[in-house]
Amino acid sequence: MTAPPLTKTPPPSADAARPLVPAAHPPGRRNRRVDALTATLFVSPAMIGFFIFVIVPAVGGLVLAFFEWDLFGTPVFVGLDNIVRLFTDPDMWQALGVTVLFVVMGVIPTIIIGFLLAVVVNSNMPGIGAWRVLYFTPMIASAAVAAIIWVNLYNGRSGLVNQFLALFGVDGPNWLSDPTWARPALVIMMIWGALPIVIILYLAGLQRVPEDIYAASSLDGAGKWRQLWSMTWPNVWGTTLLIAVLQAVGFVSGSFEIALIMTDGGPLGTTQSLALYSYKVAFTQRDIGYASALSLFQLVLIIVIVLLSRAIVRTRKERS
Amino acid sequence: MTSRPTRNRRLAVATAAFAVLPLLAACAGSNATGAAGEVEGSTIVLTTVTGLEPQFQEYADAYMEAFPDRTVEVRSTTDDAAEYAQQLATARLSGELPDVFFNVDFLADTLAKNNVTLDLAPGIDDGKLGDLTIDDFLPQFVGQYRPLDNPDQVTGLPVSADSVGLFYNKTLFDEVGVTEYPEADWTWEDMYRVAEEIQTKSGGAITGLAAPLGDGTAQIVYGPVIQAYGGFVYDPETGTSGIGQPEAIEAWTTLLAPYGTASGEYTTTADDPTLKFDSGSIAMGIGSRGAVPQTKTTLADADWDVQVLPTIDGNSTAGGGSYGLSIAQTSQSQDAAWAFLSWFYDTDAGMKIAQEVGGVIPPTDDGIDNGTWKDVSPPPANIAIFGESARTAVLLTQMPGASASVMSEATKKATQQVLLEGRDIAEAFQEAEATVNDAIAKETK
Repeated sequence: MTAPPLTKTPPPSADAARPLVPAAHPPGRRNRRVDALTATLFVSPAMIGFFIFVIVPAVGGLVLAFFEWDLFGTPVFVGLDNIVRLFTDPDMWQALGVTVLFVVMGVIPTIIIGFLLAVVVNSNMPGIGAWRVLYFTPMIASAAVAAIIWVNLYNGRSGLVNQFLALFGVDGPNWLSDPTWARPALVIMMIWGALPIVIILYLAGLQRVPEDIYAASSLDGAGKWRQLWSMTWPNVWGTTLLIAVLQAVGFVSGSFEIALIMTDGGPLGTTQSLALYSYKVAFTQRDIGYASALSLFQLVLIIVIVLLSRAIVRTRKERS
Repeated sequence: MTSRPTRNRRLAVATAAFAVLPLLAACAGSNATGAAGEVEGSTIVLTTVTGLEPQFQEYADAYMEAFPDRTVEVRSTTDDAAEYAQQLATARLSGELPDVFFNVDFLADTLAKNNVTLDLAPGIDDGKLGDLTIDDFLPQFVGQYRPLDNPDQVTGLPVSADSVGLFYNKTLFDEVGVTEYPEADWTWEDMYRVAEEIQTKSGGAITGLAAPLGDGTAQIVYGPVIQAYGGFVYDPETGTSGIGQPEAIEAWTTLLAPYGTASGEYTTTADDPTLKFDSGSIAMGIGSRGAVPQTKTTLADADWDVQVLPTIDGNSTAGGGSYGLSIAQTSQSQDAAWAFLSWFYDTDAGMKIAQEVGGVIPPTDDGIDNGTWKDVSPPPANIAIFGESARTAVLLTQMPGASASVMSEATKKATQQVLLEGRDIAEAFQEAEATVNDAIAKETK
């Protein structure tokens, strides 16, 4: 006896070959041109804005690096003088060192803390809603407001940080005026400010990790920590790389306003990043040409970071 | 036939040129020239810093009430000096300079050198300020708006003759049982001695004296102290700074002495609460007359007063400064701008309101002697000291271009090197002097 089929297959007909939605226009060169024109029209407002407010100033900044200009007078062409000055300026080297230290001290802790907090936020533990709100609090405070709050927290005499340390008999330093502690103090604040976006990105990454691999690993006897480091962490590697690049760029340029408000780059230049140094050269010393050269150098630094990350991605893809 | 990459390259070059040419043309500055314009039915734009906007709005309102067919539009965007300079530059590039604008000593020379500000001297000589002449203003305050290269010109008029005094909080003195209040014959040693006594007796809860040097940039304090020791900050004749000379080193030694004993520990930023007299935990602080209205509000429950600054070797150490009003060379309503200034500097019109609203001290002999600025209800009971010190105050030194900003950075760095790294005072400030002189040389080349 032949078993009946589980589903009925409809008899073939002429409709089967017909597309569900008929093409509006048969493909052709004319239609492609119309599509291109339509797309251009839609994109053009944004492109015009991008050109006027991004391309023109960026190219202008690039060109100004070859001029001497005090904001008010007529720019004077000085060739490569500003570029040469970059390499003989000790303040630039110090600012570059500070920038690199900000990145080194900031990015790795931001990634580790952000990842762990995202795992916690992603769980269903009791009271997690309240924790989620707390984690995202830094996002609603502007950098300037947050900086002022942290200045008060770090105040050597009346700040909460030192009052807390005093509970354990520790005499805290004058954080923002101490050449040893000012930079770590700023990095801690910047990590705090960066965490919400890092957590959001990791949450998106965690939700793409298939549930069944956890079930399979549990059957194989893997505990929570083993699952975290051997299953979750490798599965969010792409997100980690994205966060690393974003945060590296963020710590290169984002340290500017925080340091300007909290320490003005001090003490002794220990918190003066390239971005803050170029701002001071531009608008305090009114040396726009050299400030443009500094910004150009910072742009090169960011391009190097991006290229490095692309090289890492390529190498990883080749290996896999 | 042109290949696609070549076409793309050409397009990129054309785009870059299109982007850069207008920018460089704009950087070259606006070539627009000013015009007299009409006074009746006129509208002028007045730009100031945010902190002064409310009082300038009141002046404008009073002016418009007196002359209903004239309009003064008051604008402000920032309190930051660097940002303000940037915005003036941007306004100039776009040909949108205000008719009348806030000017300040460290910016005045640059604005004059680049033909931003109108030379007011011929207009004043022609009677555009009514009976008021240049000689009626205190010469040192007008001097801040005379270009270094052309001292016959006057590119701004001071609004208030501000000088500094010693603010003291009697309530805090009494709290720790110190009855020796500041006196007019005090020396800096007296000030430090009493400050240290207060700080010690309070167990550090009260700061005896807000550090006079602040974060190291307080030229309004260190300038007069250097001069009191016989030194100079900037000599226009030689075009050099003397902040590393032996007399100046004596001054720095005095100024750096109180940190940690009579004052709090060094702090990096000038707006740290531990440096502010009106925080309520500081017994004494050097402050400008301009701080009086704010202090009246914040120390409403305290008994406080002011005294002239202590002397050094019998010399006054009172510093001073002013902000001024200038007219743009490109203004199309220069006569209307003059009409407003004429009303504003009239002691029976604008200056009367400025004294009532802004507490300004008119920068004229008549204004200091007969103005209503002294008629404020105490505290401070001793407000008249600001009139006396305005006449003898050592004003902020006008320096070429942006070299004053370089000096601020240099003195701050030297201060930090001494206080935080233990560097020798002479070494640190001689290096600062070299940095400043390099900047001056660059500006004047």
